[in-house]
Amino acid sequence: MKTIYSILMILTLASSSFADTIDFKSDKLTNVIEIDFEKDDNIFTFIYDAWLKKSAYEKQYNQYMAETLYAVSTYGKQNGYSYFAIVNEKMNNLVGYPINSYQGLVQYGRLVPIMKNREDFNPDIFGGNGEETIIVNGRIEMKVIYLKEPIEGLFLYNIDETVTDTKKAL
Amino acid sequence: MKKLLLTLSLLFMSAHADYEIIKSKSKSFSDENVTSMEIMYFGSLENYSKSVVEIQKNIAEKGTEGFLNGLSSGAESLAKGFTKAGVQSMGAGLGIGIVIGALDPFIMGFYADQTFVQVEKITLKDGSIAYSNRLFVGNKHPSYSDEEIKNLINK
Repeated sequence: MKTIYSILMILTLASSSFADTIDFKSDKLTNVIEIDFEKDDNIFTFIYDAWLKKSAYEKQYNQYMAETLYAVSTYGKQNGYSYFAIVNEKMNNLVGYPINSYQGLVQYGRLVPIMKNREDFNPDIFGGNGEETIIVNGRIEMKVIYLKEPIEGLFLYNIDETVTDTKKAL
Repeated sequence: MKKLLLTLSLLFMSAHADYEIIKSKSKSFSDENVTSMEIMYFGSLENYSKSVVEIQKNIAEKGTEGFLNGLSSGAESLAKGFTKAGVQSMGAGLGIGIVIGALDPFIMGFYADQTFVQVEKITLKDGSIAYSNRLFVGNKHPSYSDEEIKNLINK
């Protein structure tokens, strides 16, 4: 029980100590990333302000995803966190969603050509119609929760590894 | 003959690539450091998520000691694969309400027909535990059988 309270305290204290702003321009990111913080749930929403186009989907998807994950992971690192979970409704690591790396999301992006309705390609394919995946209405909206410690049995993003992996792709 | 047909069908399937297998690990480790591997779960991603949610709800309601009571058989067999420390850390996560608000299992928004996952518990040389998974997403008509998916995941 003591262990639970210790972890709980670390997580709770950490959640209230975020820096208010961060300057991503110095990191040469091509598009503005907005950060919105829902304090009640400790959920940060990162909005990548560019639209995925059908004609250049794969290239754009990989680039935008790298930039978004880089912003998410550097923001967490600067605030002393080691892990984060994506908590968009249909891709929620905290309820078992198994992908936890940039490479995994890139591979996930490659699923598009094998979809049965590819001729009806819609950049909202992973979410569409306002559904809660990481691509909403053609742009990336990634909801994350930061953690100091891993939760065993769940697949979370390691912040150091994500910074390294995405930096190579920028 | 059966084996030959299975091999040929696997070759045919891989040539047509109507599926993807995405591998993930809970932490970095090299294959040389693995001493044992136990499959904790194999089945649809939706049922896996439902089982995880069921376990988390039970931890929230019954605590980390009695959480196994009343779990469905699928969730129970998955839960038994978690270490005590793992269950405690899940309990701590629930404590700050990060999961409570998101307990509805996701329904995959893919157009693809089949999403299966195999979750493995890995014991490393230093005695620590890691988890890995292989996510299968396929789109084939008629659909892959469970046996075919298992073979593709583990080949």
